Amino acid sequence: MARRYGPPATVLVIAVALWQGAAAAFRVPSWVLPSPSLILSTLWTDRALLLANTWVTLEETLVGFALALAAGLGLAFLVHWSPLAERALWPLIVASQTVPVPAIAPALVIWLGFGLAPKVVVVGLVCFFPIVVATVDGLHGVDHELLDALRTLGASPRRLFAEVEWPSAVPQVFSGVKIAITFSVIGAVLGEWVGASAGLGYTMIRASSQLLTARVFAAIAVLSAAALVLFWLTVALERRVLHWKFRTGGSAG
Amino acid sequence: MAAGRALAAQGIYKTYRLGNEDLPTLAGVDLTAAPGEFVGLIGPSGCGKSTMLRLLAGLEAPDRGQVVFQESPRLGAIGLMPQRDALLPWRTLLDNVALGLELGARMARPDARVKARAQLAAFGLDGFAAAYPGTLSGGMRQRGALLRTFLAGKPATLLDEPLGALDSLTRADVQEWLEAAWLTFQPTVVLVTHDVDEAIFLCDRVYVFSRRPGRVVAEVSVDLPRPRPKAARTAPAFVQLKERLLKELRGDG
Repeated sequence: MARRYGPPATVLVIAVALWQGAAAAFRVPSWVLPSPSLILSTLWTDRALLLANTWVTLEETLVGFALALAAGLGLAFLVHWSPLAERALWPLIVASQTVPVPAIAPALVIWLGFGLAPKVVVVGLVCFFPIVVATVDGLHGVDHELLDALRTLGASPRRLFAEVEWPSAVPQVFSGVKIAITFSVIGAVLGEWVGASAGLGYTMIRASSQLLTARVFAAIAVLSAAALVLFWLTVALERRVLHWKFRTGGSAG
Repeated sequence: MAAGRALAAQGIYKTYRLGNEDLPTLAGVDLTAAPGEFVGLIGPSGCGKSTMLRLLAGLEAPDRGQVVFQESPRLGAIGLMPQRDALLPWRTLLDNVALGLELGARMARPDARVKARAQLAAFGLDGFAAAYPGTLSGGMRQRGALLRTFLAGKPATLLDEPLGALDSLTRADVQEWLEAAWLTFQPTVVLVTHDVDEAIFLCDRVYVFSRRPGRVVAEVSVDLPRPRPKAARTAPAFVQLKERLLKELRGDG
């Protein structure tokens, strides 16, 4: 524990202390750069507001992420199974990532309104790509000796997918999911900035227009914490699902 | 359990294309294996022995010539165990062995587990049922893979240097396991090896392949009583066979 979390915790504490010291020493106005202590107290005084808006953002994040997962896996399977689909879809999937999501977010508001839908779509657009790429790579990287051996024992293509291709791709899928889940919160905030009536992104925009900079930072702190928790949950799930890998570690001689 | 069936190859030619170059790999191979016979293929590395097994298993088709076997299609009717053990790292040893029964005998997993567990002891694997392959020694993994292949109950089984990666002590042990398993399940076996001792110890008949493109240059019968004890390796008959095979391999037979 101490070995693992000690160094980053130390760096964090030093940075926060320097920040606190600088804010006091240079008498920076709190609407320009609030001190860490002020942000902390704002977290407490604004807790009801922050919590209510956290749930909104979290819902957008999770629904969007679920959509990205379903679409990402579905597209990856399609590309893996059908060479035609690979040739037709893969270049478009890659090209879709060159379209800047912040630029199309306003269009989404025009099409889908100010509710949940446009945020979910933004989260989905941000998240699906790492999942597709990781899953396709994972499926392509399967050990062909394993496939051939089971094929000669009479395994059907469906069985081969269930027994060999999918399990061997799962570690890669988790790599993609870990990247996607980290981006997902950012996606929700992005969606809220363009047009929303609730959520942490919306809270930040309103607070900054009122020069309540401490509240902006408090919202950022909550967002970071939410992203971290989601990441940790993913890692915990990964350890459960891939227990054969983590238990194995090295190999006996 | 299906009894061994005759397997034969007639006038097999196979050429691969590597870039702009033709790579003739097999040039007119004839061989037969009688029902329940243990046949060896021996030859210098790269002489097309492994390719021969892939053609026999039905994983690939020859350019010319044909493979004769009672069942059609052959793919799924003749088990192939590749050089590396090809155990699934995400299944426990027991479930890997049970997979042979699930695929070969269309058994449901619970029944397959019960039957597989009963066989583990005979292969010196009891106590390791719940272990993942990554935690087992090379010799244990090979025994597990052999057991999986034999339990699939295919009338013919192809073994591609199954013991190539083992140290010589472990190798001698697993060779005895292998002979015992063959005597129990009685499939027709074609074994590829580059180890002359192993070929004599295990086989009824040995085909000697030339350098690439592979052809059969000699066929040697091994008339030694079974089961063959470790001490058989130093018997005069064994040593004579070894000298003859080595001579054929050098090409001055």
